[in-house]
Amino acid sequence: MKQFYVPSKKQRKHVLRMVNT
Amino acid sequence: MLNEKKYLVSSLCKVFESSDCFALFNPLSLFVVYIPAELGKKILEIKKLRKQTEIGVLNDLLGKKLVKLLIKEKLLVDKSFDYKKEIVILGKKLKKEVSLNVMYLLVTDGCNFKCAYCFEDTPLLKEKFQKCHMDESVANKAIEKFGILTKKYGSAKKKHIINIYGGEPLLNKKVVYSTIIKIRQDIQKGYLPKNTEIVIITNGSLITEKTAKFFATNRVNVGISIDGPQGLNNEFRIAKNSNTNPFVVAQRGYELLKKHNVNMGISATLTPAIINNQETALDFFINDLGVKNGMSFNILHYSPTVKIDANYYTEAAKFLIRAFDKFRTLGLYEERMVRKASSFISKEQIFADCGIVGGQIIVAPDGSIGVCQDFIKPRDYFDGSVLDDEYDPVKNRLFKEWENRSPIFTAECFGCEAIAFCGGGCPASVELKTGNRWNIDERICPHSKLSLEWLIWDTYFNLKQ
Repeated sequence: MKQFYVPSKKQRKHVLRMVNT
Repeated sequence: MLNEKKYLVSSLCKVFESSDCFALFNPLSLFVVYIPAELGKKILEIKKLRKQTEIGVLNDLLGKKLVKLLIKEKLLVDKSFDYKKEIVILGKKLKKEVSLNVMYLLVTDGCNFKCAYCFEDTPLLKEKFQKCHMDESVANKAIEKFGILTKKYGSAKKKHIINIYGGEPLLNKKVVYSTIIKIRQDIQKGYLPKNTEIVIITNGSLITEKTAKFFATNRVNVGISIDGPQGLNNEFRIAKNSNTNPFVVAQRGYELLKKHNVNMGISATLTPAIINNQETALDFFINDLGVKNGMSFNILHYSPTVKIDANYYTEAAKFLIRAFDKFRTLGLYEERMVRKASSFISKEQIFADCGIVGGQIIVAPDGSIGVCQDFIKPRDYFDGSVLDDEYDPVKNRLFKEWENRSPIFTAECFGCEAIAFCGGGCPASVELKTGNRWNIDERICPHSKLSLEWLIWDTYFNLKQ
């Protein structure tokens, strides 16, 4: 992996998959 | 080099480990960064030494960019850094954001069920309990009082919720109907904010065709309690009339609401029966009941009459994650896990799960105002009345014993990775079980910690793909 990785909001949002909030 | 700046690994730096990657997490800002395991091990070594390291050495060990980021995010700090001070600053900020947006209107404290785990039956009573229905005039006064209070102390941005509650509220159907009509009228007249929502929590047994139509017409959100298929549901949900099958009457109510397209959520308590039959329960909610809108799983409150295994709370936390993992691919909303996921996504800290910190008022059938429906029968922590036009629960410091009840103000939680992600569970349940509302709610620790770690790694595994 790269030296480090900070997930964006969009990438964190992926935990919801198909759930609409 | 002389006078080179020195840093140490902050107490705020929480480290999660997997085979190829470490996640560094700031529990106050909910910031997360993923780094290769080899760098993570170096950070753990520096953390273990508990001594300051020159920035040049850190740059050589970890790389300049990462060191700069870790300093910015307060995961590397100088020796003057005081993490407890940071917690206090955050606590004060979040406390200011508490807004009075919810009213629980208990139109009756009587019920036609006697569910084994009911938290309203937990407090000890000094006298024999006499059930009481709310009069229409008291309900009207409560709605007017809430309109004034929520405009004064609520947040206009957030929804305002009037939650018609019991006991079983539909035992007092006449007042349920008049209350809903009054709320709709007061929204029209501007006495209540336009973004006021009506919710009713019911066991479903008294829903008729007429009730379902009425709820649909008046856009009432219905929470209906069903704890899995018949065999599981009826272990803990018990009707007072022994000829009534609790599951059959609840399902009948559910189908009537569904027929009239009423907006509803299933409220399912995680009884030992569900924990021991997880696949059966999930299959029931998804396929048999056909949950469309969403649902909420409840972790059992303390009840002296329900025996649970020592590992119940951990098993319940794992079940919530399993259910969420399954539900999210179907687009189903499960309130408890979505609350956690939303906090993780937006990095918005959770001050308290419960409105007892000043976010809610409870109105008893006689009009008295309290902080939590757990105490409805003994009327503990009730003060003033909706019948007193001058009474203001905020000015009268109704919440003073509870307003700081957050993990962020609980010393025992200061070292926890989930301190600003937890919410602290149910202070009333803790008080009833241990005699001290400041003790930690053991129901919630596993849920907060396990769901946080799961969300961190789920995000990482998704990034890897």
